[in-house]
Parts: sequence; C-alpha cells; structure tokens
Amino acid sequence: MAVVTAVTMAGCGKPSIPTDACRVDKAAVLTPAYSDSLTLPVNIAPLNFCVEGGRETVVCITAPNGQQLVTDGLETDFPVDDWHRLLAAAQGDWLTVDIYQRNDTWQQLRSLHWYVAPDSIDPYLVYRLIEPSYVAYEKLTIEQRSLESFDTQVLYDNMAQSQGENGQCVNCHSFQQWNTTGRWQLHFRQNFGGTLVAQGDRLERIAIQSEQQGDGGVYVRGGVYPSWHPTQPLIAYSVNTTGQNFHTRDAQKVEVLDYASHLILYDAEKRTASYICRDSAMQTFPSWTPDGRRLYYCETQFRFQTSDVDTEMANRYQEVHYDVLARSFDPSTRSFGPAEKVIDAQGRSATVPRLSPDGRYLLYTLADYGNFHIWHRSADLHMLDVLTGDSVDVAVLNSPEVESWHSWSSNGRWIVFSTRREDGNYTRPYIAYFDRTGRAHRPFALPQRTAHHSQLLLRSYNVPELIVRPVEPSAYAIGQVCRREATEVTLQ
Amino acid sequence: MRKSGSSLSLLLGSVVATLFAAAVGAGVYGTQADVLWKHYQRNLWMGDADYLFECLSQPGGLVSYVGRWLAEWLATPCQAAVVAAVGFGLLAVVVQWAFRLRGAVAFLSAAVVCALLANTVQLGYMLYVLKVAAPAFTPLVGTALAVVLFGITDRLPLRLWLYAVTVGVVGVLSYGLLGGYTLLYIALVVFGSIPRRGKAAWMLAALVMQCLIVAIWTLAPRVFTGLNPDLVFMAGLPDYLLTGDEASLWYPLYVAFGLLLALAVVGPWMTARQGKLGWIGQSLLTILVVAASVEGVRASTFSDPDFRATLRAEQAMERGDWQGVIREINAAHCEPTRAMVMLRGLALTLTGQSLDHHFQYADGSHAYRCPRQAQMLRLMLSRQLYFHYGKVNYSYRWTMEDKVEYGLSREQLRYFIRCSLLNGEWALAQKYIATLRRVPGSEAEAARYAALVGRASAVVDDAEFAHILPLMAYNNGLDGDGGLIEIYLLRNFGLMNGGGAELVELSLLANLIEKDADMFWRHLAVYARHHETLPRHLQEAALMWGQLQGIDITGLPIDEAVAGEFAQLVDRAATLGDAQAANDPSLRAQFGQTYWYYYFFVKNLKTN
Repeated sequence: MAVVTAVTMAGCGKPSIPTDACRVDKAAVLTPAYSDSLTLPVNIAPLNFCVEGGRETVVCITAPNGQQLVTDGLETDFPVDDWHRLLAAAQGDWLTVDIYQRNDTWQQLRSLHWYVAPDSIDPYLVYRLIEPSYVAYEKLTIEQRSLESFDTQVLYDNMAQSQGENGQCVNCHSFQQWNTTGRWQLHFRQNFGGTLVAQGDRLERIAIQSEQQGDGGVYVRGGVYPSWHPTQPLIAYSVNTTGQNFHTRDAQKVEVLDYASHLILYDAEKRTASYICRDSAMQTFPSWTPDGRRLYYCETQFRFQTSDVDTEMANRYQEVHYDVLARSFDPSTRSFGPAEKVIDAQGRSATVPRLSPDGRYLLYTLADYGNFHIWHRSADLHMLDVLTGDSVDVAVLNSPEVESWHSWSSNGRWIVFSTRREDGNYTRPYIAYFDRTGRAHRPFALPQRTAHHSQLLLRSYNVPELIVRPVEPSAYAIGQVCRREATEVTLQ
Repeated sequence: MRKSGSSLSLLLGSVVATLFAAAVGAGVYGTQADVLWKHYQRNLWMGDADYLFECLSQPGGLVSYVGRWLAEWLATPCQAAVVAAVGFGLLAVVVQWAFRLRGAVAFLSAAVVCALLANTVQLGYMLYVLKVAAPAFTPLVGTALAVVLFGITDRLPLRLWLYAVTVGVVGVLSYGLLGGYTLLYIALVVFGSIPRRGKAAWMLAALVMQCLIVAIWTLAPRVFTGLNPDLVFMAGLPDYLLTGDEASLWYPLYVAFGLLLALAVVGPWMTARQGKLGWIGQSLLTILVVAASVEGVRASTFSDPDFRATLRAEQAMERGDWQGVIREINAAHCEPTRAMVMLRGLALTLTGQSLDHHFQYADGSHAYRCPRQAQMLRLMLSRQLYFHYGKVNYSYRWTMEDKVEYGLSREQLRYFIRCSLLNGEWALAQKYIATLRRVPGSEAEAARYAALVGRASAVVDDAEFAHILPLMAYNNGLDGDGGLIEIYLLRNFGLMNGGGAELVELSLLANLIEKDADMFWRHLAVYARHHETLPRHLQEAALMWGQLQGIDITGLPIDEAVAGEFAQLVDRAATLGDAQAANDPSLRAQFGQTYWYYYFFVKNLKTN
C-alpha cells in the first residue's frame, strides 16, 4: 500500500518519501562530500548534491517546525526560494537531512544534521578562474558569484585584450571594506599591463614604474599583492620579482618563488607611490588591520649568496621561510613605525595574514617553506588570537591537501578559503563558520547548481574574496579602461 | 516533353554535381587517414547540455559545436569518408538550393566544396598551432549555415523595408551562432540583392550591411565578455595570420567565399541561360569546373613525407608498437626532422636497441615545413616524449599548457589520466576519467583507466606504464626546460648521477649524442660493472675516445671485429682531409652506421 502510495504520488510529479524504507546505519556517499554537522549561513544557495551508488534517491530536509523540502532524482535540485524559506525557518537551529536510496529495496541511510547559523554570509564571492597552469594563460576570468543563488557574472575576461602571442594576465582583485565603499582594484600583466583602480564610477589604469634592485641585478616589478586601507584611498602593495620552477618528480609540480619583494604604499587620490620598507629582506602579502593603524605583512631573511640566483634558488628554495610582522601606521602623517614580529614561523613559513573584522583573530597560512602555498601540500590554515597571543585551534578547516588563500566575511562570522582537498590539483573555495566564541566549524564546498560541477570543472578558483556590494562596471567598460593610456606612477 | 526532358537534365546535373562533391569529400578524407587521426586526437566533443552552453557562450558557438561533433567521426578512415561525403554533399545541395543552381552550373557548388577541402588538406604542421576548433569541419559548417541563412531570407516574400529589417535582425542574432561567418551571410545578402531586387534594394542592402557591421562590432564585445573588439569578425574563422607566410593559407577560403558571392549575383542567371551553351558547351563547362576543382585540391594538399611519417609513427607509439615506430620513421627515406629522430630514438631505447643501433640510422634536422617554427617539437611531441621518458611532471605540465592554449582534447585527457595514475594521484585521475566519460565513444577507455585507480601494483604491471616506472627512479629537483625538449632530455640524462640500468643506458646514449667524453667515461664505468659485454656503440666510443685521449681500454670487452673496423677507419681517415672525409661516399658507406661517423661528421644539427 505504501509503495502504491509512493508510486502514485511520484506519478503525480511531487516526490514522496518512501514509507517502506528500511533504516540502515550506513553513511551516504555524497558528491560534493557534504558531511554531518555543517553550519550553514541562512542565505546560502542550495547545497545540491548527488547520492552515489543508488538507482533512485529521495532526499527530505526537515526544519524544526516540520517544514520540509523533498526532492528525488539522482541529484538534488532544491528550488532556491523553497530552500531559503526552509533555512529561514531553521535559523539558529538544526535541519535534518534524511536520505533514502533504492537499489533493490528502499533504504534510509544515516541522516545528516546541518545547523543554520543566525549569521548571514556576504552575498557575493569574487574569484579568478584559471587552469592550474604554469606559464601559458589563455582564458582568465574574474567572476562574481552570488552566494544566495547560482548567478554568476563575468567581471572581466582577459581574452578581450589578448591577441595572438600578446596575451594579458589578470589577477589580484582586491576590495576596500568588502566593496561597501566602491573602491577596488585589479592587476594586469603583459598586454595593457598595469593596475585598474576603481573608486566608485571612476576607473583608471595606472602603471607603477619598475626599477632595478641594487643587488644582483634583480628587477622589482609593479604592485602585485594588494591590500586596501580600510578607510583611506591607500593601497599597500608588495612589489615582487617572481620566478617559477618545476619539480621533476614531486607531485606538487610547481614552485613559485620570489627573488625580490618589497612593500609600497600607493595613494589612489594623489597617484603617488612610496616604499614602506626597502631593505635586504623580502616582504610580501600586506594586510591592514580593521582600524587601519597597523599593517601586517610577511618577511623572509633569505639572502642570495651568489649571482646565479636561478641555480641558487633551485637548490635552496626550502630555506625560504616567512614570518609575520607588523608596523604601526599613522594615517595623518602616512608614516610607518618599526617592524615587530607577530608570528615566528619557527622554521616553517607563514603567509597571507588577515585579521578578522573585529581585529582579534589573525588567520594565516603556514607551510614548510616558501610563499606560494597553493602548491604546497603542507599548507594549512592557522589562527592567532591577537588579544591573548594564543593559537586558536582551526584544525577542522584543514585537510591533508592544500589550504591557502582566505577571506573573512564583513561580520567576521564566515571564512572562505582555497583548498585542493578534492583532488590535490584544482583549487576550490570552501566556506566555514567562525562563531562568537572563537571556534571554527566544519567547512563545506561552495554550492553549485549541479552536484558534479566541481568535479568536471577543469579550472581553479583563485583568491576568493567576499564582498557585500556587487561590482558594477561591466566587463566591457573595464576593458575599455584597459585600452586607455595608463597613468604612470613613479616609486619614490 | 522538351520541358520535362530539360528539367530532367537539370536535375541530373544537380544530382551528379552533388555526388561528385560527396565523392571528392569522401575521397579526400578517406585517404588522409594519418592526418585526420591527428585531427581526431586534437578534438573533443561532449553530448551534454553543459558542453553545449559552454560552446554557445562564445561567438560562433554553433559552428564550433557542430564542427567538433563532426570531427568525432574522424576516428577511422571509413567513418571519416562517410561523414565527409554526407557533409560536403549537403553543402553542395545547400549551395545549389540557395543560388538556384541546376544542371551543369550546379557543378560550381562542387567547386565551393573543393575550395573548402583545399583549406583542410593544406594545413600540415599548422594543425599543431591553430586554435580554431575542429579545422577539418568548422569552415564547412560555418559556410553552410551562412548560405542556408541567405537562402531562407532571400526567399522571404517581404516588402523591401521589411526584408531589410529581417536581414538586420537575423544578422545580429546569427553572430552568436556563426561568429565571423555572419559577415559571409551579410555579404551574400548584399550581393544577392543586386540581381533580384533592383538597384534600390542593393543600395538598401549595402546600407543595412554597414549598419549591421557597426552594430555587431559595437554590441558583440558587450555581450561576449571575452571577445576582443579587434577580432569581432574573425571569431570562429581559422586563425591564420593575414600577412606574411601565412597569407596564402587564406586563398582557398577566398576562393570559396568569392565563388559564393559571385553565385549570389549570377547563379540564377547562369542556370537560366546555360541552355544556350548547348550540351557540348555545358559538358565543357562541367569538365573545366571539375578539373579545376580537383586540381585545386591536389595542388593544395600538404605533401610532406616527414609529416606523414611522424603521424604514422605516433599512431604506432599509441598502440605500443615500438618496432612499428622505427619502421615508419625509416620508411620515410628522407632527411628526418628532430621529431622523427626523437621518436625513433625513444623506440630504440624502449626496445633495448639504442646502444647498438641508434647511430646506424640517418640523422638530421630537417626544418618543419610550417610558417611557424617556434617550439615545433614541443607542440608536436612534448607530452608524449616526456611521458615515455619518465618525465611525468613535465608531460603533465605541457599537456596543461596546451589545454590552456588550444582547448581540451581527448589526447590531453588521456595524458592527464596517464600522468596522474603514474604519480599515484588517484583523485586527480578520477577527475579526468569523469571528464573522459562525458566524451561519447570513450567509455571503454575511461573504464580501463578507472580500474587502475587506487591500485599502484596494477599500474606497475600494466603494459602501458611498465616501461616508464624504471625511468622515474630519480631524485626530485627544481628545474625548467624552457620549451627545449630534446636539449633538456639530453642534458638531464647526460648529467645524471647513478640510477637504474635503464637510466644509465639513457645517460650513455645522451653522452654519445652530445659527444661528451667526460660523462661517457663516468657512466661507462657504472655500466661496465654490471654487464659482461658492451653494446656496439659503446665499444665504438670507447675505442675512439680511448685513442683520442690516450686512455687504456684494454680492460673493456671490445669485439675484435669492432676493433678491426676502427683500425680501418683510422687508416682511411689519415689519407683524407676533414672536408673530403665528410662527403666521401666510400667512407660513408663503410662507416656511416657507426658512432665514429656521427662523432666526426654529423654536426650543426638544430633542435629545440
């Protein structure tokens, strides 16, 4: 009778829960691997997934008030509005995810429980899509994805400015205050190279003059890793001379290494740039505190001992270790204080320091050596409680594969970070809750419209950045600005 | 009776013209199996909606989608012939219909077909550098669609102003599907309006054309975010350079498009008036068109023994037929390119023959007959050579670089999977296998690789991988090849310290090729400790360097015959100067297959 009912209801088009299912203590194998005890933002897009191994599947998600969302088919396809209603009904409480699978008979697999946090996540995620390639680049896109749905907009496509051998690399999108102020920037290399700086409706392309380093003839290039000051029209950049080598045997495949790097400060109003520090050490990854009165960055004391820097770096690359330092900043005088060590990496290498919006928690990436940690399997996320000086346990965020670039949400409750945990080569953004008690929760993969999207996508997500307000200029408008004459800015 | 007889002869002409076009297409594609095999390997098509949307997100998306699907049928000569017959036969039908060609005049449709065939068969090595999707079929598809659109809009019984609006709307909307072929459609409309709708219509059409061009040029980059405004009307067309050495590559397309434009103007008129030529005149016209078309295809066909030999050798390599690789390279009977030398060298190594026979074969560095010479070896064989020589990371690297530059192909997927399996990157291998499963006809291949995931011992024992693993027994280091495949391999192996038997042999071979005596002695010492006899080339080198450097080699197992031969060489060379010796036919005949000849007389080989 129950079978007939289920079949009848199925024949009516509305999925029904199999009432004759036998409960088994077996975990469902999901793609993506959404696990138990996830914490979700109330405004997140549906977590569509596929239950592997069955001929038929029914998934029923139930809110505490009894509201349900039922879907059948080999993959879930939760309607966005229904999903949001369900999450709103479960805000601050738990959803129960019941999974039914049939091969010969219906079985109810082990249920999952997902907590819906009272905190929303910023509605947009901006990232670069790029193959995990080495030298060649062709189609690079900067995309803006709504986290509340699956809507994606291409903010910029480098092919619009590339022609034949004269390509254009685009990277390092960066926003002031999650784009609430309309200030953001984008960096281009090769054809129409320079930096696009946007301040509201005003877009311009600047070219920071390169110059020669005194020692070893190593050239320092224009601004690479950016960090907008939280309130002022200032951008701290690292200027890096970067090289790339290839592992002959190691499955990590690539080493991207800096041969020289310093920090500069660019004034977007005055169009001037000056060194923050310029000594024999190498500095990179600047990051402002939320009050704009301190600048965090990474520094290594690695020195070349010969003039054959390429061979030397190939032999000594594992000796390159970065610590996290900070300098005070006086906004009125635009002056920096002396450097203070914040994190002694103790023989390892710390990069990408980023402070939570409340200024208390410093999230950074730690690996065995080097600075381009997306290629280092040893790279994990770590966190320091700046107030107490204690380490915060964020092991739940990490995996045996790479965890690297990360971004805080504007309310400090969500972290988005890059990881290669799915296959070791392609970077994917994962989202994790960080609650008010300072505890990190189990991360989950960025939801996609189809369950196998991530597995089939042969490109990596680079530099995931959360923003509150969407970027407004069209890709075409940005491209037109690229083609205009760049304003040259000389490093002072 | 006369009228029906005339209609019958007109129909017969059309049918025969179509059959001729189909036959030429089938004949060309059916006999270019080697080349079209490479087209097939460099192609990829998926049947799901995601792939369709991905194609349609670029201008000319429909052309590339259909073109890629057609290229999937190039797997075998028989399939290639059938799909070419159908495709090019249909194009002939479409051209006849659009321009109202009948009878002998219908053979001009076959001339268009032959021009497009010429565009395909001329490619040769350009196949490795073109980024346009499925070059064997996209010009056919784009041209056919443009002609169909013209035929449809031309037949619409609309007032002039409405016709102009219709053409404008169709032109703008079709750009997304046809890309640069939209310009062909627009031009056909303008030219076609000359005879059919009068002067006013022609002027209006010309105006509409200009407006359309401006509209598309303005709107398209705003709709397609990755479209370079400078290349709006090149989207989907072959990416030959317009000037310089590649300018002539455009000629077949110029002929095809020029013929179509001419037919737009005079096609119906020719059909109506061909009866005045009489059957002799029509027959002569037919013969002329057929002869010119066939000759055009023949003259355009890229005929290069190096190229064909390399492709056949590569196919043998994919089958694991290493003797077949050697056979195909040697069958070319011409100065080899470095690609050929390297393929043969790889085959000799993997069959254990290199140290006995490598220098028996003619060496050379014949230039690739291609307007673009940069990194030709890298483009042709980097992933294959690196893979089989155990440089798996480098094989993966160049496969990825090519995927970025030229788009994903089945060949790249295969190497992604192979490299991932060899590296024990199981999850990564599964990812690529999942993609391969989306490619129709690849299910069996995907299943075969899937069975190896997570089973390192199975990979070790698999015939496809077994010979590579011993070559991977070296320590990791940071390095780079700069795109110079042969030089990197020679230096890498030549300077290697230690290693298993296979690596030591490769080191010795590299030392011989590079004429590096110091490293030769070092590696020979290792080799001799583990072998009671020496391969021929090692004996030759030891004798030669022993004498040149005054090194005592009496402890080495040198065959009397080899020693005797060396003594003869010394005597002969003493009687000749260097310049004479290099070209002396008797010296070459007697010693041309020894290392000595290579060492003294083979110089200035260019590689990358």
